[in-house]
Amino acid sequence: MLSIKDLHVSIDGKPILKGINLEVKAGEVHAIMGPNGSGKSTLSQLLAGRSGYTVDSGSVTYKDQDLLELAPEERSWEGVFLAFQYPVEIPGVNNTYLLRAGLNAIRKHRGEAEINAVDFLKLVREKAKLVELDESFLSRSVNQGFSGGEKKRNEIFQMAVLEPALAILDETDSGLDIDALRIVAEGINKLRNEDRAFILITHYQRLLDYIEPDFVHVLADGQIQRSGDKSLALELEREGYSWLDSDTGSETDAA
Amino acid sequence: MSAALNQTSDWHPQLATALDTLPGNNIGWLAQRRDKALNQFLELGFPTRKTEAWKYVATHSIAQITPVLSQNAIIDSAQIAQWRLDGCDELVFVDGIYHQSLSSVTDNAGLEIKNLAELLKNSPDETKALLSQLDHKAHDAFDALNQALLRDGAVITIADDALIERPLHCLFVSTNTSKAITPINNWIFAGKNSQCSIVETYIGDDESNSLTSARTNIKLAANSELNHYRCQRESKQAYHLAELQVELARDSRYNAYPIALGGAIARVNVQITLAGQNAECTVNGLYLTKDKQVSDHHIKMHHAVPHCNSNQLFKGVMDGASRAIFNGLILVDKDAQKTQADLSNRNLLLSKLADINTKPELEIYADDVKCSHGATIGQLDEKSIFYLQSRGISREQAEHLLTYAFINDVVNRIKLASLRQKIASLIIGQLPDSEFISELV
Repeated sequence: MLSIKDLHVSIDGKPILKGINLEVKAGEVHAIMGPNGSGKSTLSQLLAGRSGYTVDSGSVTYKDQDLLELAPEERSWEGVFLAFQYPVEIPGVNNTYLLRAGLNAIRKHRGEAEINAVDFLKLVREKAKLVELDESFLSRSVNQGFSGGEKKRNEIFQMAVLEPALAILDETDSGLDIDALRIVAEGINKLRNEDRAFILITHYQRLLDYIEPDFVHVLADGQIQRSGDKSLALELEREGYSWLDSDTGSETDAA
Repeated sequence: MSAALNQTSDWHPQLATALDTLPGNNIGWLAQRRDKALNQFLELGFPTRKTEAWKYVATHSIAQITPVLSQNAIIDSAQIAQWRLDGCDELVFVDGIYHQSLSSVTDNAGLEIKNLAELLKNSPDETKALLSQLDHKAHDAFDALNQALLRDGAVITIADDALIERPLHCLFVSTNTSKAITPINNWIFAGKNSQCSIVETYIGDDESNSLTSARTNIKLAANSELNHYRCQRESKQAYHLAELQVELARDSRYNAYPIALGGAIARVNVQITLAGQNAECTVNGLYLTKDKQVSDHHIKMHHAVPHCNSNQLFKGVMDGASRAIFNGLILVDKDAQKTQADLSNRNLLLSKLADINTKPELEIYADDVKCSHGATIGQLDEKSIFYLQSRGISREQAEHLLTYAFINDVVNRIKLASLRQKIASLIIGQLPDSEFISELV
C-alpha cells in the first residue's frame, strides 16, 4: 500500500529525514518509535501533505501513485488519514458538519452519492460511542475547549467516520491518562481490519501494551536504525535508546 | 493629489440655499441652531490628513460631494422587502426622509415613536426641550454639517419601566445618484428600568453615491437596558459618516453592535460616556472591506465615574486593496476607581494590498482600575488550513471557511435572531463557496 524509498527530507536546508525505507501492506500495523528530534513527526506530517518540507531525494508511493504529488485534501480522498499530535482548535466551525463535508468529499471522489442527514447522524452516533465521546461534542466547534484527552479521542472518532485505508497516528497516546489511553487503544483495535494499515508514531512503549503491532521500527537521526517485531519494543522499554549513537537523540524536534 | 481640495467655504452658497428649504426654518431657535452649525462648518474646514482623527482617510474625495440635499425618492415596498426584519416594528426613511406608507408600527405601550420633521412641525417647543437634553459641540466639519442640515430622523422615547419586547427597526435607504447629502438625526431616550432593542440599518441601491451623514444620540436613564444594532451596507460609491453618542446613567446596560459592510468611505465615530455608577457597556463590532473600500472606526469609551464596566471586541477582515482604520480609546477619569475596561481589536488581512491601521489606547487617571487593550493583525492560520485539508476540505474552501469562522464569532453574539440570520447570510453571500460555508457553521 505504502512504499517509502530512500527518502531524504529537509526543512530550511537542514536535513531531517536521511534515507527512510518503509514498506506498509494492507492490514499491517507498524509502530515507529524513537527519541525526540528523530524525525517521527516530520515523517507523519509529510505523508499527510503538510507544506514547508523539501524532499531532496527518494520517493513515496501510495496505491501505485506518487503520494508527494497529491495535495493534502487529495490524499484524504485517497484514504490517507493523519491523527494530529496537536489537533487544531477551529472556533466557529462545527465538528460534525466538518466531518460530514469531509466524508462527502471522499465519497464524491469515489463516485458515490452524498450521505443523507439521517444516515450520517446514525453513523456519527455509533462512532462516537466507539471512543466514548459524549454526544455534546458533536455540536461544538472543532476541538474548541476540548481537553487534551478529548482532542485525541476526537481524532480517533474522525478516523472512525472517515474510514481511511492508511491511518497515521502521530503520538495519539501522548499526554493521555491510562483510562483515556485504553479507550483510544480499544477504538483503534476495533478499526483494525485486513484492508486498513496503521502507522503508529509513539514515544512510549506503553501504547503497544494495548495495540499489538506487526512491526516495530526505531527511528533515530532521520533513519530507521532497527526494525523488528513487538519484542523490539520490549527491548527498548528495558534498555531505552541509549544503545543508539549518543549524539543522535539530543536534537530538538524540528517538526 | 490631482483633485483640488475643496474649502468648506466653497460650499457656502449652496448650503445657505439648502438651509432655506429645510422644514421649520421659520422657527427661531432652530434657524439659529442651524446657522450656528453652518458657521462652525465654515470655521473648522474639511479635516485633512494632518488632522489626527482623519490621518488615514482621503477626505478630499468626500469633499467632491455636491452640497445639496438629497430629495425624497419614490420607492415601492418590494424594493426594500429583502431588508425588512421579521417580528419588528419598522420605520422606513428614504434618502433621509420618513415614509409612513412603508413603515409599520404597532401600538406598543411604553414606546413613543416619532420622526423629527413631524415633531418640528407639530410641537417645536417640546422638540427644543427634548433635543437640548443631548446637546453637544460639533467636533469636526462633517459633524457640524450634520447639525446644520438637521432635517429628519427617528425620535424614540421608551417610557420608564417599559419592557418593549418587539424590537424596533429603523431602516434608512439611500437611492440618491447625484452625489447629494442625506442628513439623518436620531434620538433614543431610554427611560428608567426600561428594556428595548433597536436596530438601525443603512442600506443603499447599487447606484447610489450620496453622502449619508447620520447621527444617533442615545441617553439611558437609571437601570435601563438597550440593545443597539447598527448595520451599514451602503453602495460601494457611497460615503457614510456616522456619529454615535451615548450616555449611560447609573446601573444602565448598553450593548452595541456596530457592523460596517459597505460604502466607499465609511466612518463611525462613537463616544460612549459611563456617567453613572455600575453602568455596563459591551460593544461587539465588525467591519469588512474589499476592493478599494475604506472603513474607519473611532471609539471613545469614557469612564467618568467609579464601578463601571466596559468590554469591547472589534473584528475586521480586509481584502483587495481596501483599508480599515481602528482607533479605540479607553479614557478613565481620576474619580473613576474600580473601573474594569477591556478592548480587543482583531484583524485578518486577506490580500497583500489590504491595509489596517489599528491603535488601541488607554488614558487612565485613576489608580485602582483593571484595563486591558490589544490588537492583532494576521493572516489565516496555516495549521488550521492544513487540518481542514487533511479532513478532505480543499484548500480554497478551507480558506473561505476559516474567514467566515473568524467573522462568525462576532455574528453569533447578535442576540436578535432575525438580524443574526440576515447578517450571516449577507456576509456568507459575499464570500465565495457560500453554499458550502453555510453548511458548516
